[in-house]
Amino acid sequence: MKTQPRLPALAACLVMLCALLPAISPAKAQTAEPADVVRNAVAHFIVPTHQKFSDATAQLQGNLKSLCETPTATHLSQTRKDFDAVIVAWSSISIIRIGPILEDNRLERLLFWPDRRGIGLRQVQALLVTKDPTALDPESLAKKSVATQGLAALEFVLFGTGAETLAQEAESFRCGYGRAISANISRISQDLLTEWQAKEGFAAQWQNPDPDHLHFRDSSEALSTLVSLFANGLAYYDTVEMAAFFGETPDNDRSRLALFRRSDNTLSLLQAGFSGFERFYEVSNLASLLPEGSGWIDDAIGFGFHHGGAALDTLSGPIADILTDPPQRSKLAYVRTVVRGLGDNFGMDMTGALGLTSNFSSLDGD
Amino acid sequence: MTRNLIGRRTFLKAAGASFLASLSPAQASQINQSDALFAAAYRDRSGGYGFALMAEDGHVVMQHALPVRGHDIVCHRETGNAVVFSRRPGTIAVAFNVRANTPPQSIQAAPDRHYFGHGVFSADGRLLYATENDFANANGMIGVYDVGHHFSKIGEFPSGGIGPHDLMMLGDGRTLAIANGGIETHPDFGRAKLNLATMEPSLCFIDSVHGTLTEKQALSPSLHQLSIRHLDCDGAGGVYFACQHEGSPREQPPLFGHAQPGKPVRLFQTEPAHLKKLRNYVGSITANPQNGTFAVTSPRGNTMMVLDGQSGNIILQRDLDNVCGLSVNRGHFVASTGNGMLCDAQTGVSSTGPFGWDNHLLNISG
Repeated sequence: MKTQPRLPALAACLVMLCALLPAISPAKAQTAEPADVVRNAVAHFIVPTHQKFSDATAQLQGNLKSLCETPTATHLSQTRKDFDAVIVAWSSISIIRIGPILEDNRLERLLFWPDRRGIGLRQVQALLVTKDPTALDPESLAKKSVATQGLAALEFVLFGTGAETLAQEAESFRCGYGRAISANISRISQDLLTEWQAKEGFAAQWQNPDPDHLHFRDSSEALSTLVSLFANGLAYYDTVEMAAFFGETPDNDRSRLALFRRSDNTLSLLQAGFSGFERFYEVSNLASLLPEGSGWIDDAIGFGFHHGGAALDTLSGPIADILTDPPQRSKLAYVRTVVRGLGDNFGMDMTGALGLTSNFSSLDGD
Repeated sequence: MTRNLIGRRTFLKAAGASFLASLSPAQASQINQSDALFAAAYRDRSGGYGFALMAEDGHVVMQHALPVRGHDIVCHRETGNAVVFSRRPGTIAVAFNVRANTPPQSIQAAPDRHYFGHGVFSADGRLLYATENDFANANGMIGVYDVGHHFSKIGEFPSGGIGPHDLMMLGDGRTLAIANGGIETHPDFGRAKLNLATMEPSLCFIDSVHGTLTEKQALSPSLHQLSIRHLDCDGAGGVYFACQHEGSPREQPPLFGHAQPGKPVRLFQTEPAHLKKLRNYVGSITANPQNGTFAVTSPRGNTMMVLDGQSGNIILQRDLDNVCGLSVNRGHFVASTGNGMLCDAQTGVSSTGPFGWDNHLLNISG
C-alpha cells in the first residue's frame, strides 16, 4: 500500500546530482520580492517578446502585400522566411497563456491547434475553392471561424498544396486571403502588446496585486501565476506539442500531426520555445526568491535547460526525417524527459520552496 | 459528495474483524475514536498518487497507491462498493469495498475510451455508470459496468454532449443528470482544450434504463463558454450545478445554478464582489438537503461559500488555501484542501494530514 515516487528517473538523478554538487551554485539568499520578479517577467520578457512578435507579423504583412502585387519566386521566398520568423517569435508568445491572449478568443484566432479532425484545413481549403470575397477583408475575416484566420491557416496558404501559384499570379485570391490573415494576426499582436504595456488591466494588476482587484488579490497569487506559466507551459510543450507527433514507440510516431510541419518549422518552434522558457526564467530572476537551502532547485533547472537545449541544438532536418533517424529520435526522447523533469522542478519543487499552495487542485483543474 | 453514504456504525460493524485486523492498533484506534470517515484521492510529498480513507482528525487509516492521479470517489451505501476514477484522460478506475478487506480491483477503460473522473452507482448498486470520452468521434459517452461481474463493461450510451464530467442519479433511481462540459479533448494532445471558441455545454437528463435522452438543458448562447462541470442532488428531484468559465477573464458570469427535469435551468446571481473571489472557477459543489443549502469551492480563489438553496444568497464564506473537496458531516460542510487540510466550514476547526487532497471529498460514514 506504499506509494511510489513519480519523479522521472532521469530527473530524479539530475536532482540528486545537483544536490551533491552544491559548489556549482551556492544556495541563494532571498534577495527580491515577488512583485519585483513579476515586474521583471513583464518588463524583460513578456513585453519584449510581444514587441518582437508584433514586429515580425508587421513585416510579414508588408512583404505579403509586395508578393501579391509583384508575384516572384524571390518575393515568395522572402515571405516564407518572414513566416519562419513569426513562428520563432510565436514560440515565446505561446508560453504566456494568461491575460490578454485569453480575451476575445485571441489564442484560438492566432493558432487553432491542435486540430485533430482537420477542421481548419477543410475550412481553409473550402475558402480557397469558393474564393469567398469576405475572406479578403481582415475585418470580416476576423468574424469567421477561428480556424481560418490564424497561423495554421496562413501556413497552408504559404506552404500547402498550390502555394507555388503565389509566385505566378498577381493579386490572386490565395495571396489576398494570406494578406488578410497576416493583417489579422498583426492586429491581434499589436493589441496584445498594447494590453501588456497598459497602465491598467491584467498586466498592471499582476504587477500590483490588491485585494480589490479582479485578477490578483495578493503577491502569492501573482507569483503562483508566474510559476504556473513554467509548470503548465512545459507540460503543454511535452504533452501537446511533442506528444502530437512523438509516439511511445517509433511505430506510433505521427509526423503529419506535428505543428508547423508543412513549413518545416516544427524543430525551430521546439528549439525557440525551449530557449524561450530558459530566457524567461533567467530574466525574471525567479531563482532570487528561493529561500536558503533550496538553491539546488535553481541548479536542477539550470542543468535541465543547459542539457535539454544542447540536445535540441544538435538536431536538424524536417521532423519526419528526425523521427526516422534513431540517434536524432533518441535525443528527442531525452528532451521530453528533461522537459518533464523541469516541469516537476517548477510545479512541485519551486512551488513548495516558495510556499505557494497552488498547482494541485487549482491549476489545470477539472 | 453526499451521495451513497453508509453509516459509521454500519461501516464498522460490516467491516468487522477483517478490516480492523488489517489496520495497525493506532489506525484501528483512530477509526474507533473518529466520528466520521472520509475518502479522497491524494498526492503525496514525493509526487505519488493514490486514494485514502481518513478520520475526521485527518489521520489516514487506509491508503492505496494509484499509477496516475485520481479524481472522484463514489460509494454505494448498501453494498459498500466504492470506485475511484483516474483524472481525465485517465483510463483506469479502481474498485474497492469499504467493508471488506479485499484487494482493490482495477477497471480498464475500453481502448477507444477514457474516463473523465466521475461515476455513479445505480440505485440498487448493481451497475456503475461512468462518464467517458469517445475521443475518435468527439462524443461524450456513459459507460455501463456490471458490478457483480468484476465491473465488466456491458454497454454504453451517449451523454448528450461533448466532454461529460460529473453525473448524478436522481432520487427516482432511474434518471441520470449529466454535466456535459462542452470541451473537446483528445488523449493525443493531453489535457489541451480543442474547441473553446465553439464549445456548447449542456445539462442532460437521461433514462438510465434505456439510455435515452429525456431532456437537454442549455444556458443562453452568450454563456456558451461556461462549462458545466459538477453536480449534486438537491434531495427533491433536481440538481445543483457548478461551472468553470473558459471565456475572457474580464467577464464574471454566474458560476452555479439549479436544474430539474421539466423546469427552466436557473443560474444564481451573485454580487460581483463575492463572485470575483471564485476566479471564474468552481471546483466542487455539494448539497445539504437537510437544511436546503449547498456549498461551492474555488481552489483558484482559495475560498469556499455556503449558499441558500432557494435564493442563492451567501450564508458563509471562508478563505482556505487550495480548497476544493466538499462533503457534509453531521449537518456541517467539510472542505478538503490540496495542502492536506480538512476543515469544518461552520466552526473553522481544521486538521492537517500527510497528503494533498485532490478535488473531491466523500464522507463514507454518514
